[in-house]
Amino acid sequence: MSRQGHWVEPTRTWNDTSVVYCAVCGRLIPRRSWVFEGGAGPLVACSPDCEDLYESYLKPTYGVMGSHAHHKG
Amino acid sequence: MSTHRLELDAVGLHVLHNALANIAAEMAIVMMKTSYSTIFNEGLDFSTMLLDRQGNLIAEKNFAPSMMGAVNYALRWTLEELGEEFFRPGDVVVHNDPYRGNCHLPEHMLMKPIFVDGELIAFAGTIGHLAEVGGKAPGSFASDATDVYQEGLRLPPVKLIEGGRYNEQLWRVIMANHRTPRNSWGDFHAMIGALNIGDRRLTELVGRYGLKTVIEGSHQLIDYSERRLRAELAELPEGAYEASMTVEDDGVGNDPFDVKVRLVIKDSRIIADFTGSSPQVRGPMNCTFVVVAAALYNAVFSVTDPTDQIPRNAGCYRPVQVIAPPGSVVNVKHPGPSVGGNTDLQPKLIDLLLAAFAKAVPDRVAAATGGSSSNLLFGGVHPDTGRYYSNYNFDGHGTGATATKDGNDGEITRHSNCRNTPIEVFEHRYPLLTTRYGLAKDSGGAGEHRGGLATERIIRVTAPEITFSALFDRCKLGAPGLFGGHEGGRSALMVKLKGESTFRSFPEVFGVKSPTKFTNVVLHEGDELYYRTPGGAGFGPPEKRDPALIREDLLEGYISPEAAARDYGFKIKDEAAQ
Repeated sequence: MSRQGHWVEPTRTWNDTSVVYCAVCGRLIPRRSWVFEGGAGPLVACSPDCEDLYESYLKPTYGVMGSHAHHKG
Repeated sequence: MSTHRLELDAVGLHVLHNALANIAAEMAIVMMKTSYSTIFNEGLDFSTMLLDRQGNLIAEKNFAPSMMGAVNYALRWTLEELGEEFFRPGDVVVHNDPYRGNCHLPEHMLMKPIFVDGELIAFAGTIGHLAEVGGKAPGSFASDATDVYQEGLRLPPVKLIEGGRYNEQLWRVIMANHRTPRNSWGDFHAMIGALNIGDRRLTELVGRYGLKTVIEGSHQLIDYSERRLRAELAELPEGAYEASMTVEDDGVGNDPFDVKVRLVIKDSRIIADFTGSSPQVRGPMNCTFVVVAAALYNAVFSVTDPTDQIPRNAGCYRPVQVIAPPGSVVNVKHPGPSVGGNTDLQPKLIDLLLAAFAKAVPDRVAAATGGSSSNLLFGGVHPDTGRYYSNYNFDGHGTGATATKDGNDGEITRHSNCRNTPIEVFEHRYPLLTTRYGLAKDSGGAGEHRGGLATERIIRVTAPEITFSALFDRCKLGAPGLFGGHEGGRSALMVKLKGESTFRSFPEVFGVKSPTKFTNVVLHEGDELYYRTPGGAGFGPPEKRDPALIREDLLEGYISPEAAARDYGFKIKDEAAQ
């Protein structure tokens, strides 16, 4: 399976208390994120493995997933 | 320079695994022997571990399986967030942030980097439930909390010890926010002592076998565990297995909520997909991501390796994947509360996962457990000492029956694996008198194999006043049976005020909303509290139960003649005639 995504380094400062969650599996994204095209916009994930998980399981099961900007808490 | 040679063959790896596991075990003993709080030295609500430089688990002493998810993720995420350079020799980092890899606010993870000849080689870690961390309720278990700030003091990863010296500013903040700072001081130092032992013993091990051997061997052990677990998973029938459950309420409102799971077993891997579960609730029954991961690991190990033959390290977690939508009850987002998600939703998540596994491997699972830690919190000024005290207490419930056996009676939830506090210790430490403590008759769900019995207890207040909080679940919805087995008995909490003759419910006496989830109710000297934990569910139809076992249950007082007749069609008179 070829991966299309790329790593994105954060621009957050030390006093930013927000956290970001993986749009695919829901894990915390502690720092850099793996961003890939999900079919209905870019998805922010925790690792390349989650692009694989999306392509092999989530997309075939539920269809394409929209961008999950709300995965910030 | 190493003093001993160790070949990394099967025997050598076994020797290394035992050495590493023994270090984690010794760390745990240190913590048990030196802590101040009964939740540590009696309850054993903690775990200890060694992790490699990347934060991968290499050995653990897992007293509390509920912490497996945090053990697997918290240090790795801290390393990723702050970088390896954050950790310096002599540091101890503390972290209890539920949104950054911890189970819930009371759980504190302490991490110490281990350096040999100036090089970072590994970490020692310990995670434990501090009995009191501030917040709106003594014992830091507010069952009506609506955000994390009501649950206590939240610490992102920060240095408790820096370069071998106290970070005094941080300690002052912590001690000022915990109700029982002396206990926190003692318990933190028990944890730090455990880390120091881990540091010392691993350094000695490196001295004996050499750094290269220990590091390479650790990684080979991780790969070995992964291979072993994948081999077990390969034995399971591939497919997608679904299950769902309804949870009675969130502690704030009376509305139930749902959790759904789709378990996919394929190619020696498991995916547990919780998509479709309810949005996060207002009360504290939400789970963090690592709590859900721990529930999955617990269920997977129960089905594949119930006797702990596979070394527990990071390799065991690689083939296991959680999907938990953020903002749902299985992945709470800030500022949602989560203290009860760890204690009272996590055990039910294990039951849910086993219900899904039951469709694939029915002979390897158990029916649902009582599924509630039956959390009772209390605090006040002790009349004998004049000091403020606070305690977090849990009691055993019934476990679910299996295809071959009845459930266990009076056992603390399987995800916590803790012990109860002996009455003698309980009464010595706190102004409460236990007047009754035993198994609750008829609380095990009927079945071919009967669910385990719950416990029931009456305690009398012997101080002028004590503030109580409680978070019990399965008061309205008992543990569901499996394959025709009956529901387990439900939990109950009642109060009898001094001078009264009968126990009444807390909503009736104090006007609280929930009968088993409430915060800061004040009882006075002579008042009595009755509580019953939930029972385990039955497995298989009751009519298939061996009559000899029903007779034995009657003789032991586990079931009443009425229940024998109602649930099993068992007539005492017929027996007498025979």
